[in-house]
Amino acid sequence: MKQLYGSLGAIILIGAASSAPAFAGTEIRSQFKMNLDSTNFYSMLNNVMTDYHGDSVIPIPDISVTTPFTTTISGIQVTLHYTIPKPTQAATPRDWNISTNQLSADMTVGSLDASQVITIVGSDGSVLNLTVNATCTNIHLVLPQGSSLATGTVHASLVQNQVQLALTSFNASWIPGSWQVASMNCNGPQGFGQTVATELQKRLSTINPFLGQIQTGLQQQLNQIAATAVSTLFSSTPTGNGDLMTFVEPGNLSDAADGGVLLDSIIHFILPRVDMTVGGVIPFASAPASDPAISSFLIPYQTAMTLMAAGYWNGWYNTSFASDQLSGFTSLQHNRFGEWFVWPDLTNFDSSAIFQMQTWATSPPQFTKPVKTGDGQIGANVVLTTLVRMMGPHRDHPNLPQTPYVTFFNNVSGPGTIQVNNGQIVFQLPKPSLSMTYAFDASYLNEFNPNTKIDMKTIAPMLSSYLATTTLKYQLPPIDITPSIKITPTQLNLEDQNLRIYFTNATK
Amino acid sequence: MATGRLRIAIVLLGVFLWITHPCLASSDFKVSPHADFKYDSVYYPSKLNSDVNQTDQILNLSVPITMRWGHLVKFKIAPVGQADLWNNSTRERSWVDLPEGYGQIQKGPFTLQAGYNNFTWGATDIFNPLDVVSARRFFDPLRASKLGAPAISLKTDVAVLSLDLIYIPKQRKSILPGENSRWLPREVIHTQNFATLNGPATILVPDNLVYSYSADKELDHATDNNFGIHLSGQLPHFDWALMGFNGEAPAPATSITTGATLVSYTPIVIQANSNITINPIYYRQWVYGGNFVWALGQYIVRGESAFTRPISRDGAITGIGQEHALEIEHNVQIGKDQVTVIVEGTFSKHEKDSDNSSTSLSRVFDRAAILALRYSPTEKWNFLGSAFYDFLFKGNFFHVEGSYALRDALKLNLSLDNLNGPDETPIGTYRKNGRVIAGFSYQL
Repeated sequence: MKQLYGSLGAIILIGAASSAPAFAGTEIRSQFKMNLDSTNFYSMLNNVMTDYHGDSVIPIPDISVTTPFTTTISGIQVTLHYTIPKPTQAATPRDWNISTNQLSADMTVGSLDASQVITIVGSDGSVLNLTVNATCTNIHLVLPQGSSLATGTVHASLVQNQVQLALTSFNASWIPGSWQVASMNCNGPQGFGQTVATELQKRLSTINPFLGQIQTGLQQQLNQIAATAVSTLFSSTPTGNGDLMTFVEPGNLSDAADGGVLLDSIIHFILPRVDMTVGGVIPFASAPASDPAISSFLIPYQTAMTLMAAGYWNGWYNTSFASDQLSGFTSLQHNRFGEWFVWPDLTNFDSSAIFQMQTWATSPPQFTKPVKTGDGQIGANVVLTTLVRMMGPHRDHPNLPQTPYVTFFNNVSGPGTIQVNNGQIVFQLPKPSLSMTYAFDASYLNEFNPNTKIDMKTIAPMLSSYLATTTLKYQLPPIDITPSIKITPTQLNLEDQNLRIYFTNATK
Repeated sequence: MATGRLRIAIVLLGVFLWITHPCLASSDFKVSPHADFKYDSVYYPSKLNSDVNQTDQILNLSVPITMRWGHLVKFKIAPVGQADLWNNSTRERSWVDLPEGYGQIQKGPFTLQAGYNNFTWGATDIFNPLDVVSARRFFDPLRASKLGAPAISLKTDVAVLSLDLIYIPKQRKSILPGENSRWLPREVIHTQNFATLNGPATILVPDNLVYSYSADKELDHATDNNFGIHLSGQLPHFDWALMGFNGEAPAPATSITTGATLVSYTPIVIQANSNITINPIYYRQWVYGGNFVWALGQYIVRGESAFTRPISRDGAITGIGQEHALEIEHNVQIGKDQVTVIVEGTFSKHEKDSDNSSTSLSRVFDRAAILALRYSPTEKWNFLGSAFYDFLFKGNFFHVEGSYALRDALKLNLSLDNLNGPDETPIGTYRKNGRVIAGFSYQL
């Protein structure tokens, strides 16, 4: 254990950390940069874009009806109900088109009292002191759905680290005369109600007076969506699976060359199984070179090593298998004669017995002194110690649970390579060590006093071969970088002690 | 005001007597007294509200007396009186006037008249737009009579020319129908434009309507110092005249003041309250024009044109206008009898639309045609008939009249009037004033 602690001492501080972890488990903070190319950026925005459903209540200024007599209609309220389907991406960069004919509206006027005495003077000097007794209640006009058309363009840009969705153009119209009187109770001179309705319909002949309000309402919704987009990129809520969760602190957003976006921030990796405290933010080893125009993810190489070490403590490398998966082992069991020379104690077990195997690293894997050895390939000094525990059935009572039988110790060190192919990280390790050792379980020794001879020249290749194809060829799971971006690494490169991971992404 | 006019007339007559008194003593004196009595019983078949007469019993007495001193001096006085004692309009119950009360001196080509007088200009028989000098009494607009006013007129004849100069120091004001007259709108009032209403208003009036008159308004001293000039000439078979008159318009403009309730927005319909005040406006105008009479064989052609330019400015005045009439008269031989036929066409153009007050009745001649017949089969029987059609307002009017002379001085009369037209038009407003008039006249 001292050896393990010592190997991690440089990168992991246990216990007396400078700050308590914000989350249960192990939290690793690191600088990182993520380049979302235009396709990924648009994909992300497409994902957050949605149908817009809105009701805009628009108070209308008092209408002064002057024909034939001045009558003020007050308390007018227009409620616009609109549904705008999810915007579709336009041909121009960062533009989305919106279009809908699903706009309906109601106009209500609480009450109208036009009662008054008006003195009107004719051209001949005749004077009429005209009494008008006219009231209306329950005035309700409707614009049926389908009578209108609205189109517009939404443009996405980055302003002060915020995604901004701006309604850069908006046009809407409704068919003149499409407003209909749903209800109107008028008392007074004949035609008064029709006059009021006509006057209101005249004011509603065009949507223009309402355009500003509609645009404002839409823009407010777009602002909310933009905020969602930002929170998608920068989320304080970790996302991921039981092995690894991540979130990204608010950071810098800037425009990338091809319409994409460059995210520069701090990423948190949370390994929830074991509570450990890791030091401060792992910085880039050197200033990152210019960012590529394709989607990629850049973290310090040290962050990857820290993550791999923490993964050790979180059991990332633990695995189990059965003895029948070891090439040659089953043949050996059926060759009692050969067993006497290679593994005499096996003859005490049924020739078809299957032994459960458990393997795990006994210290964090180390890939030190990394160098770029090829495109997508990193060379490093590898130190990997693994242990395989072999469980066996009870020799007298095969139906009892299996108990520890033999443990194999394998230490690997020397130059190796790391590369990612199609979501698989491949550790090309040094040749299997001939110094693989073993030890029978103490209880088994006490109980059966077996022949403890095992010919490692025969057994070690079986184990090394198996270990080389499972533990060190690791299928990388998709990583939740943000709530909407799950990446699958496709390639990694070393850039000045920083690790650039290229990925494809699948939006949730 | 009446006292003022009388004082003027007395002064005029005094001056006349002073001038003529040497002649009076040295000339033959002849007096010609007459008396005309007339009674008409008028019945309107259509009933209006109870405050409006359905019958009228009208007595008229005219006593024209002419006194002559040779050929030089003449006095004429023709007082008239009218009684309609059961008329609901107080102002129409009795009436006394002096249409003529003047002295005349004629010497050589000059004729001077001074005193109360009235004047008739123009040549056409039915629509006579140049007959604008004298004020009128509109108790019955179809038979409006002229009012005498103090005046001096000087006429001179030189060869075939004749020149009349008229000066009326104080003109009479035309008299409008009484408050309960049938000749005030009783169903609808059609006004001139109301800007607020984007046009004229049609005002319904209630059955219990009560009219009243406000104090009249006189613009530009309309009744003061009226004057006119009339120049006429005679050619073979052709008489002509040119004239101009500056003075009070014979028909005052009117406006109304009333409370009302809006009945309908579309179209605008207004219901007047029961009280309507009529505001008479007397204004001044220039009227120019001319007329001719042309004898063409068995036809007589008469034409007349009048151009009116108001001097006063007021919204109620109809503004600049022109009125024309052309008529042909012909005697048609039917067997041994003759029928006189007159066909007349009229055309008028005014700056403003008309209303339907009784003083606007002349607007029926804006586009109209008239056919009139006169037939006298014997010395005792006399028949008149006329038909009028208003092309502009689609109204019509028929008049039939017959008289029979029981004796030379006693005549029985019976006439029928029938008016038709849309409610709000000048003639249609009074379509319920169709009537039967039966009466007699007696002359002494």
